[in-house]
Amino acid sequence: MKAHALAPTLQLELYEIATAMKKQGLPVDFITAAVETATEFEGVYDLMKLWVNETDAKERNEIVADIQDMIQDCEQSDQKEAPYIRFNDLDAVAKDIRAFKDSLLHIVTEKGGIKHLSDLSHIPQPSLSRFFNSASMPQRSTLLKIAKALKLDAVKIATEWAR
Amino acid sequence: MEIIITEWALNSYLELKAEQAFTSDEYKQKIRPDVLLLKDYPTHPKFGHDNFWSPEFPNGYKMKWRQMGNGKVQIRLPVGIFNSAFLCEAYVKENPKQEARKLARFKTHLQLIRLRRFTERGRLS
Repeated sequence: MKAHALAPTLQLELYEIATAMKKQGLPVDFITAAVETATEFEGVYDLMKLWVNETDAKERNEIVADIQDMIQDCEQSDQKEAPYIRFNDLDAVAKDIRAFKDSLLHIVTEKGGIKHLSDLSHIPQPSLSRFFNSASMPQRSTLLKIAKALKLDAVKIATEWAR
Repeated sequence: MEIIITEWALNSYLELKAEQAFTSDEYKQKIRPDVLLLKDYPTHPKFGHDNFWSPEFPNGYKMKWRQMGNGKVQIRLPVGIFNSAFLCEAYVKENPKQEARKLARFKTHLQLIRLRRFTERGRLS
């Protein structure tokens, strides 16, 4: 199913936004993935447009983190089933995830901080900040990029809540 | 109609719980019973009230609650209606810019549901 065929003029618009993102210092890997995903997914195209029309730096960072989230969501190629978590267990799960992320952030800080990790991993800084501040389950692909960038062994990125 | 909990929904519940956007009582007495109305979609009269249920995109709707978190916040739950109801990413409504971003995320998730590229985390019954 080809759901979102982008007209040539809109594609050109995406390349212009990509150029603006490059000027802002966003990682090239991120920009390339964003353009590819926006070509197929209209919602990501909308986010790219929101980014280029936004003047507030904080809001722009939120949009970058959203685009990165969507790039990862759109990498999934099939339908999957994962275990259900009961409502009454959500607090405990959230605490586990928080403890895991705090521990990983401690290592990241010791190894130069989030900005340095962003440079090494090519994950935009706003996306890493959201990753460490949020209670959501970490994406396995993000954990692997962090491990590769900081040369961490598998134990350091092991969590049963990775998705 | 079956009610499917996507991984996006589950993750957003974790976020909302961490933010204390709703209490356990609010979940049990308001949110859950309202979401269960989707079993009888669209016959229940609440689906005719735009302060509770509003269309956003083809197959995409928002369920809304006001005065949650002990009266402090408004919560939105995007829902994809296909052969089943797919719960997507819930959030606390903040401002129009955040709303635009959340809708763009919802639009992407709807497309992924159509393409059957998503993770199911259970069904609500």
